[in-house]
Amino acid sequence: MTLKERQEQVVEDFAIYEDWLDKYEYLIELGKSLCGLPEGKKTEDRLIKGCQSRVWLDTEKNGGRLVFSADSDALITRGIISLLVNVYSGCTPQEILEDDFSFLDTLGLKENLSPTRAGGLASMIETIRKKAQENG
Amino acid sequence: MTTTELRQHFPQLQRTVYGKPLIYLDNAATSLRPQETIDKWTEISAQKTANLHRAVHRVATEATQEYEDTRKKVAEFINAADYKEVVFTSGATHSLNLTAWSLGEMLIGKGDEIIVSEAEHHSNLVPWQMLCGRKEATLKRLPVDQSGSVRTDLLQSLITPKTKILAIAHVSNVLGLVNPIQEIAEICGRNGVLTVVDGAQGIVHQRVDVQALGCDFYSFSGHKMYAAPGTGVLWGRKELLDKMPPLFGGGEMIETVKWQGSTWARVPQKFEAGTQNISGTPTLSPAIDIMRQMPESEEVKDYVYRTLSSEPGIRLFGVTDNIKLKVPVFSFSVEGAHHEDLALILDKMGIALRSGQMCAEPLMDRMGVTGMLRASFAPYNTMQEAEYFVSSLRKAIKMLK
Repeated sequence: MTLKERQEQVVEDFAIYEDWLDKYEYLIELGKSLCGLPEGKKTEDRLIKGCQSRVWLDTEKNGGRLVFSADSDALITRGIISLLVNVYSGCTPQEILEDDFSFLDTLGLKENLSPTRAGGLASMIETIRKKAQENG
Repeated sequence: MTTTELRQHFPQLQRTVYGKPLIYLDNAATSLRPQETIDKWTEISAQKTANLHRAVHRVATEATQEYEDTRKKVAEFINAADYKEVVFTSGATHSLNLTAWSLGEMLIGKGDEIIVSEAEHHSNLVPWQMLCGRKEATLKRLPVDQSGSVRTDLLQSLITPKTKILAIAHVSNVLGLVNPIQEIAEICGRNGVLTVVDGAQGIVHQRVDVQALGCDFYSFSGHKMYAAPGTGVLWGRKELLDKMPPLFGGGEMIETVKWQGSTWARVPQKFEAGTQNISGTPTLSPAIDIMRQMPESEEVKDYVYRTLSSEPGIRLFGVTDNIKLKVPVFSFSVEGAHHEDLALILDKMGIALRSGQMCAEPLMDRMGVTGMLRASFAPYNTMQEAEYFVSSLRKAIKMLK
């Protein structure tokens, strides 16, 4: 699947749930299914600043593509980062830098998170973009 | 006034969130405003706006009257010996910073000691840290026990001839426990130590009599006691306020100004430089009026305390043998569920509560947690709301298992 297709898939999956509690339930399930990071990789340099819960993002380069893995101590946040990892892992740095992350607006995630948590989501996006820049 | 009648005074209680009635349980962060507060603010903004004290014209007289009547009302509310002991500020944070700076200039030197309790809100810790940094003084910790109660028994042994100030909350914003201020102020007074009390939570739930408490300073915010945000009070004993230097210089706080230097106005004007909160401060008056009429039932508090302290998997902080010494502020953590997840889910159920560190990081460290959930109740919260909160919490926990 291309990046665009993966984004459309997420939007489609998310749209099934009308109620926000159901959307959270979906994110919680996503969070639970994320394999996470071994304790040794939950380091200060992988920590994404600006989130109320702790979120770690690990980046590896594999043949010109970026492979992300992530973890968080809160389940909904884990679901959100899992969603980002599913979408952006396997992209080239170029693809990430050219993307405008607007599929997140379609999900309505930003406006439905409180400002501190929306700030957390913004920090996650910023970190992914930064990793792409560093590896581009 | 019954709870039902009281609720009619608070327009925000009528609103919904996500199509559900708003259950507002974040009162320890800020209370809702009654219509009377909103009306007072509007009345002054629309009809009585003028700068205070200075001008001779009619509107200035009316505005000054509103402001100064409120000072007398606050003085009476907290039983101050003299209304001049009531300094208006922008909130408890302003009051505490003013106290720390001004007392620091007056009596803190290198090697002096300031004792601060371990359960303080950052606003009653950081100003003292800043003072200690500036004056090379030492900050000493008055510890809390495992349940969060202040170890008053250790106080005497912490005091040395170098100890000048003790700072403590009347009621902890996290634990909801009422500290024995009278006993603490008595020990401090005997040893020549000044007692500075953060009353931001205390003023909301306790009948405050500053003379009976025996402390030297008492600070609180208007926005937690149903008045407008940006309002607050510093009460201090007059003989101390008289001697303390002002923090801000400017209009209103001076007696004479010459190129060679200036002299200060008397208290409280000495501490109220610049244009006052003309519309905001007088809202303390209707706020006090409505507080005096609030129902005093403890049914909701007892129910929530009983439920949260016996619920499996829930760790309630600030437990006590004497429920009379706890206000309806309940901080807790849930085994296997992150406070952020719970707060997000409860929000979508219409419940507003707080999650995180509640501006008390050292206390979080002491309790060994990265954050907590806090449900804080006001007299307008009903039993029905409390029951809905408990059942929603159970549902949210289940979702995360």
